Amino acid sequence: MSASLDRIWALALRVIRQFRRDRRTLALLFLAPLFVMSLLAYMIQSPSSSVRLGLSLPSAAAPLQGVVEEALRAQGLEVTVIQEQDARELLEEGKLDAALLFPQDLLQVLAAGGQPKVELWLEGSEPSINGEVMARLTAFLHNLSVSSPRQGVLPNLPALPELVTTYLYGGADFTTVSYLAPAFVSFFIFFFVFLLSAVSFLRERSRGTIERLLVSPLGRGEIVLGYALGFLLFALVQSAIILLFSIYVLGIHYLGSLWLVYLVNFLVILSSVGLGIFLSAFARNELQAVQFIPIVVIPQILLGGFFWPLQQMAPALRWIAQAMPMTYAIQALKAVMVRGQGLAAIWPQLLALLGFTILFFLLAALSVRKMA
Amino acid sequence: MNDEVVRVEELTKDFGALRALDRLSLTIPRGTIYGLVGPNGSGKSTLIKILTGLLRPTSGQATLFGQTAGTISIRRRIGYMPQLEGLYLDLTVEENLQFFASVYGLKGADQRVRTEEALSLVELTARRGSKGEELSGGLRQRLSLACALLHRPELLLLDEPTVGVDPELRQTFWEAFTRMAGEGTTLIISTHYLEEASRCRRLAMLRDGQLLVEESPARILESTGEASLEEAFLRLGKEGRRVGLA
Ligand SMILES: Nc1ncnc2c1ncn2[C@@H]1O[C@H](COP(=O)(O)OP(=O)(O)O)[C@@H](O)[C@H]1O
Ligand SMILES: [Mg+2]
Repeated sequence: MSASLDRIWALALRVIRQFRRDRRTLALLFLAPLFVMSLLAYMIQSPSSSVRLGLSLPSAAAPLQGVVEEALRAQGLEVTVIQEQDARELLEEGKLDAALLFPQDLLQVLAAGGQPKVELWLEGSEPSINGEVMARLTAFLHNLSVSSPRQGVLPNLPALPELVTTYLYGGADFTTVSYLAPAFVSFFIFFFVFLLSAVSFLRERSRGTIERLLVSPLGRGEIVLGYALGFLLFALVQSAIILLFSIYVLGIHYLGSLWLVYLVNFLVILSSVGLGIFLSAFARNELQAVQFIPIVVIPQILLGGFFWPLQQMAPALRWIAQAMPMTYAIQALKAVMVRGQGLAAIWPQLLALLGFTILFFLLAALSVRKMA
Repeated sequence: MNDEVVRVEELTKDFGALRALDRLSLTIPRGTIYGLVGPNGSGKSTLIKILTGLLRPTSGQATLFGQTAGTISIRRRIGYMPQLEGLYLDLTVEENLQFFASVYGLKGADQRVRTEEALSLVELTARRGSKGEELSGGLRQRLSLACALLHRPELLLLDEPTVGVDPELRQTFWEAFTRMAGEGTTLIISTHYLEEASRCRRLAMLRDGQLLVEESPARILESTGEASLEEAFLRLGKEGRRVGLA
């Protein structure tokens, strides 16, 4: 019995010793959870006040304008007065998240004691913004009703105005999965390609094969490219499987060209290989490579637009998000898959991804040297 | 001059506060089997890595074929067998050879011929389909050597090639080394087996990064008056003497 305890204790001591000497693992163990949790807390607290609403009232109802605007602002909405005919364009250009259009016959309907139909147009591609808009407008409409203390805003309102909602993009067909699918596609590719290339490069170092490669006629850039090419094959197959699964099994609704989806994934794969090789230079074993997950992968999940759209983030977080490739990949894939947009809409994101790819390749090639 | 494959001048390598090589100078002519001997930690691997370009000298120079070590244009002319086995364990014997052959630009029939040659030299033909991870240490060592000489380099840098190889095959290896040297290949071989060091044309005896002696085995025995290289090395080490420097 005591011999067994001795063995157990000896083993425990060995483990304690090992970790006591490994400062990185200690830092990860203690600091990474704090890091991720602070990030989460910050995000949940961040006021998502930046919902931009366009408001159009008929000119006959001009006297009501000020009161309506004020009631909307009281709900934390950013109100801009617009012309009804401009609504679509402003939404398409991303200058507004939603537009609230009161009918031309508003006063007549009210005078006749009827229920006015208020049109709500939603840009639609961000489910969280859709939800936000709906929640705030419901509160706003409720305040307009006769029973509320704000009675008098629209005098003698017999019932809650009827809200007719139109989605510019997405909408009823688009389940939450449909909105999340584009983000999932790029995330899985990024995650696996990053981790696997980091780990296999580490193996290259620990087995000494990297020495043979560096002594051979292979240049450093070629080594990085060779790796990228190898991973490209697997990752493209992987993304095809994820896409097919999402479309045929999960039944996601998607628009746009699958070739563009592939083009985005292609750049995600290349940049992930570069990042994986580069960061593997800072790890001494496979465990340490895995330790990059909370530092490199999780922030990209939280900030990349996976759950929260960029524009709803606090400025500091938005700034961090803009320094991460995942942000651009998710933006581009949402544009293609949810909004059915083409190359003309996503070229800035493609350019950003290309920039990351080139940067990570250079860093990877430079870091290969110090691996001997 | 044309006959000089390696030239090392005042070569020094520091790892932080540790001096791994201390102002080493030597030259190696074509077709020589050049032995690096010395105990563990004496700097043999460090010297070989500098010659391959894997490490940069702290000061001094290392040139191969008249060009700075590590230059891309001379890489095809050298073969390197690392002290770490440097093999892909998830690939078979044959796949490892094919991979390194391709890295050196060998294709098609050329690649097949060289692969067969290398396999038979290290007597691994029967194990060609075995995965690296299934091989014992000695067999891996043989495969590792085969990978280094597959492309018939002019200069072979072998870091402890005979560790874990049984005496019979060690004999075969040395016969092959001697034959290659006869054909004009230059070989730099590190070892801590002093009995095989006597087969080298010249020997550099290292201790703590310093060159104790650089001479032919016969001259070393002669000048120290000892009967074996082992004893000669011990004596030189004790005296801390530096002789035979060009
Ligand atoms: N990358 C390195 N970093 C720090 N010290 C090293 C490194 N490589 C070798 N050394 C040290 O340099 C000395 C010479 O090592 P090495 O050349 O491997 O000797 P040998 O091959 O003769 O056994 C040793 O003390 C070793 O610990
Ligand atoms: Mg060594």
